[in-house]
Amino acid sequence: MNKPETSKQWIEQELEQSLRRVAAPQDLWDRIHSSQQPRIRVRTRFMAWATVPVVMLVALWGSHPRSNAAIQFRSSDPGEIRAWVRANADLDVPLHDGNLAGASIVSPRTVEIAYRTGGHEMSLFVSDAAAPVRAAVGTISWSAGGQAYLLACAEPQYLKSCALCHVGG
Amino acid sequence: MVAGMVSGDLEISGRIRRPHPSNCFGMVLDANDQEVIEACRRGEEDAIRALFEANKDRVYSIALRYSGDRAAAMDIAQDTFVKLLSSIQNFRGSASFDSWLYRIVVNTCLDYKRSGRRLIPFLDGLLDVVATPAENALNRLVRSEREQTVQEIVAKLRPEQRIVVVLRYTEGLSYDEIAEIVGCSAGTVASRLNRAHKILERRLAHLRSER
Repeated sequence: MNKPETSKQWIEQELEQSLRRVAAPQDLWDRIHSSQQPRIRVRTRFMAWATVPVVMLVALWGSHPRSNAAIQFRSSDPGEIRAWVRANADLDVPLHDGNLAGASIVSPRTVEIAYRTGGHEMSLFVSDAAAPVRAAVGTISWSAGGQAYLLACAEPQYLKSCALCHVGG
Repeated sequence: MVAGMVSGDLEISGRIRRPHPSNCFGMVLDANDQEVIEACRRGEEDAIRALFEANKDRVYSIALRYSGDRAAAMDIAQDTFVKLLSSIQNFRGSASFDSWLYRIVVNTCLDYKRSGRRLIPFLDGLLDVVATPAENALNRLVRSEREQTVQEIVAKLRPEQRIVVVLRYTEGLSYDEIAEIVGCSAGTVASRLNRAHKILERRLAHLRSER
């Protein structure tokens, strides 16, 4: 003869049945994807606008794959780096917190901001927008506030995600 | 994979329990976990989609069972994935990805404020019935109504009780696993579940007599 079902067994069976897992609606991905879109669209528009006055620091990157070991001013503090750059290159470079390694003066009006993330070194070159632009594979360039920016990385696959922070910033 | 869980039958609190048919433990982000996560960090769309596909049912189900309505569940699931993708850089891999994901969805559930655009749950269930003509419609309607009643009563539990009920019965997690996700002791989990059982037994007593 079967043992009578206890209240606990009964409620557990009801809960297992009623709260079972269900399939997510098909349009969930679209919602998530579209929730990311406004940011991406803004950035894309900014990129298009920004390409007009950009200078070229690409040649610098090609001839200057500086190692983070040669950084002149070492700091991970965006405020400190910004102040150092302002004092030494007369450029104002807004920076976000995260993966900063320091800065170096490349020429009197050009500075390199060094990043290190996940074992990869990246450089953000910033200059006043005085020279013409040249595009190059493995770099992303734009301009803002009368300054030219060039983001370069030895592993180009990281460029897109890095650019999102910078250009969107 | 949550520590202590294995594929096949799961031992939960001293008893052997069959895993949920759709339970992806042991399959989600196993051998290629780190690879997928690294690819997500690089912003690779395919990897992000793969991560979403592997976890969407789990996230949505927790959100739905916790909130009790589909619109809220969609909001919570959306917020969860947006948080996950924006903070995946911070996931170091020292903890289990599953635990990390559970914590995000649980916190999103607990933070969710009801917006007042709740659907009528019974109508939701009815729509399911209409959408599946293969099964005897009457039986399914009766079952659906019963399940809706249980879900409505669960949705009235206090948030801290409701979330442990959902993790236990939607996800089949052990007391220890729930404790790790919720950030309390296994004893607290047991106590919350025990109190929830008693409330549910009382409020659902009429269903038992109908069987």
